[in-house]
Amino acid sequence: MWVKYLVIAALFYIFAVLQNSFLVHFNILGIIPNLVLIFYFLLLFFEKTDKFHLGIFGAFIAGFLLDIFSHYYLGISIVLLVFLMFVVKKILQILWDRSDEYSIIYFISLFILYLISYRVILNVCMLFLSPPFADFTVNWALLIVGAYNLLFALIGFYFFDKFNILSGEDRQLKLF
Amino acid sequence: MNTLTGVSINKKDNIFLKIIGGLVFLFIFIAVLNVFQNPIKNFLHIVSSPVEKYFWDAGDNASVFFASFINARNIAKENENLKLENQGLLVEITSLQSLEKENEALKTITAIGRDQEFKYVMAGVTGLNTAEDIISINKGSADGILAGMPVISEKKVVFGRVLKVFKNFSEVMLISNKSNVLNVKIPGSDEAEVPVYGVTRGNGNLGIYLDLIPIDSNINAGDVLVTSSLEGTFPKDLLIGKVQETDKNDLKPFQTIKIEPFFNMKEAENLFVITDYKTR
Repeated sequence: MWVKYLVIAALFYIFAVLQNSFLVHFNILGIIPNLVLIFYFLLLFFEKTDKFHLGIFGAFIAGFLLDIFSHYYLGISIVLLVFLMFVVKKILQILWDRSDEYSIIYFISLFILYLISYRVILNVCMLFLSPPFADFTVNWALLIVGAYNLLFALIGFYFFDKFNILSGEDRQLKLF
Repeated sequence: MNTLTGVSINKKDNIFLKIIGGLVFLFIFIAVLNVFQNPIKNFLHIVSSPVEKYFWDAGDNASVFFASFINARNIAKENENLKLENQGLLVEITSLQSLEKENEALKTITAIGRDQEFKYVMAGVTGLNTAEDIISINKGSADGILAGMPVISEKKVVFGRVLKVFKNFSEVMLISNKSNVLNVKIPGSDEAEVPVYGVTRGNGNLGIYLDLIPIDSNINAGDVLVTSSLEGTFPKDLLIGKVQETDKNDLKPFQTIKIEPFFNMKEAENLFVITDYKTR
């Protein structure tokens, strides 16, 4: 069982290094996807809604790595991701109660909400901790951020779905 | 006492205690992390540096490979433009060669060497945080780097200044960072023309723009921006970028001009930190 956590930690580290060094050369107008955030969301989405082990473990590892490779104080992203974990899990529970089946629409909508929430809350924190780095600009670049991240998220979604990763229960995943 | 209610209350107390315990643990964990922030970040960057370098080079090669397919149509056009530009530059070189001979003679008499003004530390780029326009370089306080030092390329193109220094690596804020402001000048086309002074501001996403240019200033597309050294951070006459397009609005007292920066992450393999900048 501990092997699962080791693999997840290793994957988070590889994704963090990739997005800081490899994907930099594939930026679209200076924008690259945040693989760490994407992978963490996939873990939350595909883990059982009443389980929090992977979510909390992932929040610590992902948050730690996000802060290490950035200018932020250590721990900001950890707290943020723990908070977002509870929000995402709650929404998924509500969606699960309403329908026995998940759809790609839920995934896309929840992912966009998750991305926006992370960015907004992070900038609110920056406003108090490091004001010059707070950025509330809303422009066309956000569309590219969303689209580029969503592209990789959808690839991850189909990978998790096809190989039944984290499938502890029988989930009916349909396109629409 | 109702046994069921008692059990329910105990369960709620347990959850509440677990939440409080979790929050306390989180608070202590984060406090400890930040107390040892510098050594933790330094250690992880030492460990990650070879891996990041490998992926940086791999990404550079892969992007060149894919770009050749995407830009095939534009390459021929770009080639023609470069040939024309090259011819113009050759003419300019000829006229400058005669000036250079005079300058050499002056140098011999006055024994002034421009390169002796600065000391450089060469550093390799190990990573880029595109969300903040901050790069990591593999030199730190152990190599004599201090916060605020300018960082340039071998072709004297300004990249930014050192923001934070750790023992073995440093964070460099690019000039495209949104909080960055840099005094610049646009030299006149001839010696008689007065240079135009302004500031470049970071626009995020590796972009910059020129601001505080008087509305009546004559700025043209293709004009080159250089540092003015007015704020004392960068030596003067280092390359910043060139004017892309102007946006004159008579209702505003100043022009805002889009700039194409010269700094290019694809050519940022080796950078130079000026450790001993002296103003002239």
